[in-house]
Amino acid sequence: MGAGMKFNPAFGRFLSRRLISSLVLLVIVMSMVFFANRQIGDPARMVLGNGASEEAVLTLRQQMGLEDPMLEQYGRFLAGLATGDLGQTFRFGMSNSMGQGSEVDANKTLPIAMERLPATLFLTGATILFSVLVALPMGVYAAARPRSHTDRMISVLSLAGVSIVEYWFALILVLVFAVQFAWLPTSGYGSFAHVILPALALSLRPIGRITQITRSSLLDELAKPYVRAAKGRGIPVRRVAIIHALKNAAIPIVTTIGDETINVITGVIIIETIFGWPGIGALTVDALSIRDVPLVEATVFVLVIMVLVINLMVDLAYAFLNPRLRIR
Amino acid sequence: MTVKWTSKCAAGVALIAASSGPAFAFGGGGELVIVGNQEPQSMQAQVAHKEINGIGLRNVVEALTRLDPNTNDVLPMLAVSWEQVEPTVWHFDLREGVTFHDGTPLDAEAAAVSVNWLWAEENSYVIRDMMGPQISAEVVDEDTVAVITADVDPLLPRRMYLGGITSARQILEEPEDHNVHPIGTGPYVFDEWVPGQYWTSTANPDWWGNTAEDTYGEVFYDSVRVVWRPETLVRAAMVESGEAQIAMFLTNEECQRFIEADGLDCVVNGSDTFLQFRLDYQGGHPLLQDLDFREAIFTGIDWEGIRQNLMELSEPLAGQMLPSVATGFADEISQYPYDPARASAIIGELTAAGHEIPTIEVTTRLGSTPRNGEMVEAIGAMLTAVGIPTRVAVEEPGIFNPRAVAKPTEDRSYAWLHVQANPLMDYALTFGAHYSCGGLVSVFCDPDFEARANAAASMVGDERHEALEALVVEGHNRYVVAPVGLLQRAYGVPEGFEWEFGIDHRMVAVNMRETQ
Repeated sequence: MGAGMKFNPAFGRFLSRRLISSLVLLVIVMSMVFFANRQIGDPARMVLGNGASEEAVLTLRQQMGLEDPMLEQYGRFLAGLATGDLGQTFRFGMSNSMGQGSEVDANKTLPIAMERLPATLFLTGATILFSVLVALPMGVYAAARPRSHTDRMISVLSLAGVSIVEYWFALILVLVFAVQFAWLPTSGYGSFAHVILPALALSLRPIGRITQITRSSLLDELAKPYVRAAKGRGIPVRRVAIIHALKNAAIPIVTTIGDETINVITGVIIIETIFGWPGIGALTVDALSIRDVPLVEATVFVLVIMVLVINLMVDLAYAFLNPRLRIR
Repeated sequence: MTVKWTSKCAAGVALIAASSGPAFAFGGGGELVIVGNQEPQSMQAQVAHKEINGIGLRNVVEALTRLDPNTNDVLPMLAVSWEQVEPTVWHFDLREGVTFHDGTPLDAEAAAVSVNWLWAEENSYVIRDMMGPQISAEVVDEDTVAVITADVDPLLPRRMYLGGITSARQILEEPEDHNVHPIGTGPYVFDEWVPGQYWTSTANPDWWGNTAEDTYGEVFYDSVRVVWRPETLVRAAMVESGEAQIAMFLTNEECQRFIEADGLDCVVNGSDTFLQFRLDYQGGHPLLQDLDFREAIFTGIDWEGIRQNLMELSEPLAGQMLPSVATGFADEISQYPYDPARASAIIGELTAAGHEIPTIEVTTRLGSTPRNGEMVEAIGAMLTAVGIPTRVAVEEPGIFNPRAVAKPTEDRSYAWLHVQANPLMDYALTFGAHYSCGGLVSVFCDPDFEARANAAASMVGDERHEALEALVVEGHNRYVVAPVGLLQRAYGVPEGFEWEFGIDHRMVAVNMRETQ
């Protein structure tokens, strides 16, 4: 945003409303997670195993606060949400949960979840960057040559990208690029090479969707009179499409990129687990498998925050793209 | 014990551990990468009782005793000898010159602290059903620790194998680290655990086994890295691509593919884990306490057919839960016969006598063993075919687990299909869990049977075997639990990979090496 440029007050109010509604949404989603987590089995039994007596399970449930009235637990949960203290993980064995070392900060769930955030952000960022770099040129190219063989091929490919199941595609990528050709590591974390296969597996759908939206938005724009006038003056179609029409068609494309970023964030839960990627998605699955309720709440909290931040970023992007929203 | 090597080079494999004498080489084999199916939830000594809970942990943490991988006999480890000095007191003489990885010595005081921590009531939940009478320890002299049991326990030396001995200094001064940073005496020193990624350890040049005559292996690998991938195909791919040497728990199809592929191999071995069908008994629906009705259920199901067709990697069981290596194994019985005509006839007689046949609910735990959902479907269909209504379900662990340990009630007609382990290979453990009034997963309660089982549990030698064997036969004839099969585990490895292991499937690097 250039110096001297001011937001339209209406846009300011719009952003404020979005912020407030985001917070309300956060509380609603987290409340749903809270109540759902109370229906997925007894965490105390999961921690102690089948070898524990009913008395021991009861003692641990009391220490976990699970024997308190539901409203009291919920009140404590909301207070924790406000202060960023979502409790202690049940991991690392029963000794911690039984009181020995239970005050150790390393067992706080939110820091544990936040430790995994950079890996997920890296994977999500790489996926979206790669998707945009591939999809935008494909969409523009297809729009510039509608109904050509290339356009039809791009349409089929983008449709395939949207339709293919990520889980299956991820395994195929491992077999082809890691086992058959030995070009890339099968899985894991630690180098740029490690991100390629999971990002590829995740990028298929965003590439398809962004390509489709870019093509259709651009086609609409290219049908407008100013484009016909430019073409009449002898300006090449590709130049018109890239310099003028693409900017005007950007809002639905940006919206789609935002939507697809959110889809990628939900998709990482499966892809991180397959590839042994130490992100927040794999941690969520791990926490769910052992009914680590506080850790599930923390991971979902971070994922929801990520989604809300992306939505806000998309709203801000509108301001840059639509002068009526930002200029007084 | 039945050990089967499904290997192209099985005949040429040289077993390298127990009898190999002192090691003559140290390291040089590079890094050993093991890819398991799940990240450990803890690295505390208690989880060392089962390999799946703490994959590779036995490289770092050792126990007072160990089991011979071939005979399953109890052998010295950190204790060089032991003696039952009183019915409830055992003296363990510790190996001299052993130090923990933090430099503290293994003496009687350290061993007592560790044993007391390990088996304390508030710490031992994960191994409690393996414990028998409560265990505690006291110092006798510098090199001798007394392990005391609340009741007579001839299995104690074998039980001492289950839990690891870890640094007393850490237990006393840094107990919170005990869960995430194991400090043992083993051939590998724990380096780091990066959550979500791996844990690593480095060969221990000061390991007692490097020079001891009775060592159990040889340090070939310089370091051990344990990673985890829940997806079987990715685990297999890691061995195929050379990223790992061992991929745990391949499917039957993957295993066959490895055997047929160049440069790869698959190792299959029976385990200490069996699949069983447990049906509500005492306290449950009145008809479930009728021996004829139980016979109809047990003979109305084709157990061996289910094992052969749906339990891909398995060994047959002879109508009892443990294989022939177990103490108490009964030669005279065999798997329950599949006799649907007999089962239908019994149901017809019961119906004619005015009994209402209850609906049997058969459940299994999601993911506990491959194709278990299909197995309960098959059981349901077979029972329905002989006139017993059923309802089957595959349940989430959070739902299944509490029901699996809950005691029967009269309005319940419930059965589950689930895996259980008996690492001690002794029927006393099985009777304690399955055939006693207070047993953890027991729905069978006969005080006379329990008294005889308790008496047998305190016996030794042939007397013990015969007493347990008689109870096994009786339990079989009373249709308490139907064994389905003994689970086998399959591992993907490179061709030429040598690995000696027993039914406990320990991932111990000093028992592994590569020859190609």
